[in-house]
Amino acid sequence: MNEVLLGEEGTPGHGAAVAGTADVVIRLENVVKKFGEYTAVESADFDIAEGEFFSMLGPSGCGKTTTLRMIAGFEQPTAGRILLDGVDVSNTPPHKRNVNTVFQNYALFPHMSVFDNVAFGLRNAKVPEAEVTKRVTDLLEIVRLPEYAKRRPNQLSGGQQQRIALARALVNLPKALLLDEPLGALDLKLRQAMQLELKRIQREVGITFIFVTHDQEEALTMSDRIAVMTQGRTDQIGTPTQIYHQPTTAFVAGFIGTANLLPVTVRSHEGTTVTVDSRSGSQFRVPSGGRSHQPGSDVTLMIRPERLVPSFAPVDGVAGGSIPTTVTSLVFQGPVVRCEVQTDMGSALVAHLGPEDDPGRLSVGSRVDMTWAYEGAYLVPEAIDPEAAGITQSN
Amino acid sequence: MAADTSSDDRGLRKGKWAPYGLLSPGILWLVLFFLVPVMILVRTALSSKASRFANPEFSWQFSNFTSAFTDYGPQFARSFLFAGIATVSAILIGYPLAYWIATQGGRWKNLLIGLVVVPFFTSYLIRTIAWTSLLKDDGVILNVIHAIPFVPQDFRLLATPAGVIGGLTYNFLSFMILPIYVSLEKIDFRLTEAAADLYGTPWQAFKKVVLPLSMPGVFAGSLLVFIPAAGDYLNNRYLGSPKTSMIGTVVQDKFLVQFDYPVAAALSLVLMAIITTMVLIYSKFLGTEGLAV
Repeated sequence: MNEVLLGEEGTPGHGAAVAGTADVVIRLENVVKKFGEYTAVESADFDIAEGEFFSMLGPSGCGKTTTLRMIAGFEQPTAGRILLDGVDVSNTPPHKRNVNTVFQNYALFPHMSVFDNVAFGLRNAKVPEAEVTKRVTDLLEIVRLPEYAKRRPNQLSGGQQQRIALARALVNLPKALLLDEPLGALDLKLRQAMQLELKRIQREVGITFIFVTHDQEEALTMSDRIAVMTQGRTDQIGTPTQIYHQPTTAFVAGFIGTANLLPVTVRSHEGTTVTVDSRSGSQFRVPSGGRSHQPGSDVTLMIRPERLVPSFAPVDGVAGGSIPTTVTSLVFQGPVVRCEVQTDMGSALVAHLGPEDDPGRLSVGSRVDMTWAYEGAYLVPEAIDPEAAGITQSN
Repeated sequence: MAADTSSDDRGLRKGKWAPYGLLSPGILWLVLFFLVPVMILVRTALSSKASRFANPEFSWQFSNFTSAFTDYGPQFARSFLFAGIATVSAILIGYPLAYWIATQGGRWKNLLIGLVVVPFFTSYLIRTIAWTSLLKDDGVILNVIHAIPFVPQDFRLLATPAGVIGGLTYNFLSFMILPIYVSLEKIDFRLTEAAADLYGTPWQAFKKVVLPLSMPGVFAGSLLVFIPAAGDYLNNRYLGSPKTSMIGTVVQDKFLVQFDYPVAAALSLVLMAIITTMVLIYSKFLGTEGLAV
């Protein structure tokens, strides 16, 4: 597992993974959380920089919410340390930590006005009332709901409650803002609007955001860096581009977007090019991705659906490989045609064909060679079960 | 199209009367067993009696009402004082218990709430009489108390205000615990996490979030304890003395011993009026707004 984690982008070691030279706000040192026999978080070990939009992404039960709750102080780590601004806060109760949370269900106080909700933290911190009024008013301005100060939470829509929950946390100018799937309860349109809104607000206030989500698109849209988690482990930490184009595990490759994964064996590694053998005996030349690959090791070839093109269409760049397939389905999706094919080894692959790929020449049942450009393929340094080969996607 | 409209109309008309149809058994019940008896009570309160065993004659006898105040002022005052103290005691005992069950009860919650109502399996009268033997001068409790140094030798509980208030508190405690428990149980305790997250100490989280949100339960419980306690006569009869007599005792005595129906009816009506006024003032302060949340 360590080899997997120690890929260039996946390095969880301190400092290296943090964007730029910004100061570290939160440091998790080998944090473990067990509930009885069950290990919720196996080892969380990473730094989060000042002003960063950091996402923890993974399916439910991967430990992302538990990690967030440990940072907030609602749970104590079984082992390891959590440092906030260099100070160990592992066992500090939540009300003594300078981090604030936006809860999944918002958890607004139903018996208080919007103003009193937002002022709650400041008043507990004994901030003078004149300053409370000023800061609350400013924050309601930032979340664009200044005229709602006197309303009760139940008189607001879901999206408005969401903004108030955000204002209530941000008004305290925390070291980090923790967001626990805050957009989960909103409908798609509103969710997309709130994604941009959150990003705007984060830029405006310059506070570190730690965002928990199971929605990869949401994470890609908003984050500076993403930690992809599964089964209590952190599989990879990197920028959205790194996570999408250079996944370090097959899980990450499949969880972020859609990926075609094929089991291959390394034949040789020369310079920046690796030659691999597929199960059907074909050889492909693939970029090494900056890693060294031992001849004979089992790895996984990843090709994103937008990189697969039928052989009659022009390939952008140097040809990387080609697989004979049979078309099994063609679905028009507007900008692209989703074309599913089956290799002769039985793996299902998917290609997103644009107009330049001339999908009109294909029909279900037709034979076609699927090709890709040299730089369109990527080697995931992890073997996959041949049974699991083919299309993988999170939803 | 026209046929459609007419059938819609029929549907509407049916829908319009349905609520009244559903209400009618309740309305009938209230008219027969509340409104009519109250009217009879009003009529009786304005009657006079020629002799002890004569039937009351309606005669606009308003003096029955004035004598309720002039002759029985102390009993009224004691009723409300005792009921008030019993209500406050029930809150002080019941709230922590309900809070503990709601937050720490876990899977035993229902069993624990069941235990709260177990006393109801025995009759109210028998429970109250049982307390007389517990509180009597050479009973278990007094023997223990007298063993404590500096307790005066004549210290007693039976036939004292403390005995009556204790009995009232004990007998109506469940009516306080249940509604408080229900309102606490409804609270989303993630709100206390939110309060802690926003720098609230556990005490601040309780005071600013849990307590206000449970006030509807305290309000309902207070009414359920105060109203029957103010009109109660059994506790005074078995645990008190003539010196601690409450208005319920007087009404019972007038009705069943002296057969003075007019004055008894007037006293009952005055008690009803005072309680109604107090409840209205109380709900003004605590607000029924919370009940809607």
